Amino acid sequence: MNTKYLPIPEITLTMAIASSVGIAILLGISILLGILGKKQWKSFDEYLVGKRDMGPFVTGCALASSYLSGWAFCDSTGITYSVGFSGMWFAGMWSLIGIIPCIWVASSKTRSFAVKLNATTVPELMGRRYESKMLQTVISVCMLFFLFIYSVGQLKAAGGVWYAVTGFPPVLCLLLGVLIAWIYMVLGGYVGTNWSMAFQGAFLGIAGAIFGIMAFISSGGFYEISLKLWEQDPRLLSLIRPDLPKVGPTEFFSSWVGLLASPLIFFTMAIGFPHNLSRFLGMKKMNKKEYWFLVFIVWFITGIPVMLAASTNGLITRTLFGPQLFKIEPWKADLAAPLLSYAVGGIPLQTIYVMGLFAATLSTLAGMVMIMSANVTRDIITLWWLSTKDKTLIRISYFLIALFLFLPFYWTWKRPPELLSMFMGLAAMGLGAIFFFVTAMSFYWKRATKWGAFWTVVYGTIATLAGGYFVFTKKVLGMATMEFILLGGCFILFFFVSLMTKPPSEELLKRLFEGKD
Amino acid sequence: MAIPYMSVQAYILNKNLGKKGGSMQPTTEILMHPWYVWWALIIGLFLMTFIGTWIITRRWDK
Repeated sequence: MNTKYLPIPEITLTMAIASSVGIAILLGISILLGILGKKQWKSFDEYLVGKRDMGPFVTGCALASSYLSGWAFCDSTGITYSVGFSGMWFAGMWSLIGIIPCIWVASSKTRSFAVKLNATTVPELMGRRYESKMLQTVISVCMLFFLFIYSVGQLKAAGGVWYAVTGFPPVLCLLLGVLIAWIYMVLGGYVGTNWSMAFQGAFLGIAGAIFGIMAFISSGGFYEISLKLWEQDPRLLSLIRPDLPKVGPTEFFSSWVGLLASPLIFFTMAIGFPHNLSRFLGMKKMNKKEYWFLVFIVWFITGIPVMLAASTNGLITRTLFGPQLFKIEPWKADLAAPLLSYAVGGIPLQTIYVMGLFAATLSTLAGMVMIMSANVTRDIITLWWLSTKDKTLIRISYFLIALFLFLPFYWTWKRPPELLSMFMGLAAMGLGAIFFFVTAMSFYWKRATKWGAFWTVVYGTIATLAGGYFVFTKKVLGMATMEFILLGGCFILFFFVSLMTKPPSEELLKRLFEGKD
Repeated sequence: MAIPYMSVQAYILNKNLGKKGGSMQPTTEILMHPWYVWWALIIGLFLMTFIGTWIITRRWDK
């Protein structure tokens, strides 16, 4: 027996029961909020966007929870556990550099443009901004494609951790989770989903902060953590690890290219993610005080837990358990966060952590699924078949929400197809790079045209697919290098094609850019 | 300046690893250097959040 490190805890019945009860409470409250949200909508438009009266607390919590996925709450800890300090750049230390500018750049503008153009979805907003039904369809298909790929991996962390801490097969728990998400999304529409997401966001923020602070207090302090890491492997203290491969995902830890690409990724992802921007579609017009409150809420939920999860949590786990987790198949370093929560706070903290992880997972998935469903109903069906009745659209939405929730569940249960797995890694980067320009930049640059946006979407999609092949299959390119290729191409096409093509009509520009927001 | 500092750090750490068996005794500076960067990030991002918001909202009407 290795006495140098803590032994890996055995699963006990108390652990399993506590986690099950915790998840049941979380899901129970979410479903209750969905039921309450049912009273908030009467038409299909209200189902999609509510009454545009969401306040700063709900918007802030929902925005943070849509941005923070299971990856941020679990896998990021595994990264710093595995490679040490050099992992913190990619693991989430830059989260705030994305989500705070997202509020600055996109919150008021998304709301104001959506009201002026009477848009209920991001593709509809863009279709009207660029005066093109063709572009609205292309954007909605592209969004659907990327969000679908990205959503497939969302349940993986929650399923793995569930099995690791309870010993129960994850199938039943995840199935129950997606079923309850379906109920609250169907009942509550945008409002009910936003309320549930807000509750989950507030919970994960508080749970993550308690977890991170307790872990740090028990660690013995900065010097102690460093000393223990040094004794294991001095390279864990290095801020860049040139010993790691410069191709594939490890480029983020091994070179300056990786270090510089990480904040860019977080910046473009947060601003470009349609499930983030959608939080602003139903937001109320904020005054100064409310705007500050919104920023504070997002700073608290995104800043504290994720920055700790991305740095100290992983490092402390490494000091406690050493490299033992690498031997535990198939989860390996993904177990870092749940084991740390148990080591520092016993069953109560582990239960809170598991609840927080499920909250992060379900909220991000629900945000994406709501958009995917609207991509089909609003941005394709209603766009081309105007006479489709609200009732029909709502029924189609119910079916699509079930479908888009079930598929990620199915592929967490069964192994996803190779091709899908290959593109999953770059889907978030692709989404960010494309929609940072196509949406956020179009709020400020009057000269942005539909052709500039169209070619940005086409290039971004092809480059992401090609990148997946070269980074993950051929392994000849680093993931960080790919970010620059993606962003550079999108930048050039968006600006140069826009400058070369016919600008939007004067009437539209006057309506959007003149007068107060 | 950050770049040479971090590069030198990586060089020292890797050189130390190359010595099989024997390892250099870490100084407080070596052990604490990543935390200095960590603190700079935490403080920098905190300041960015609130100073940026102040700049954006300072001319807003009541």
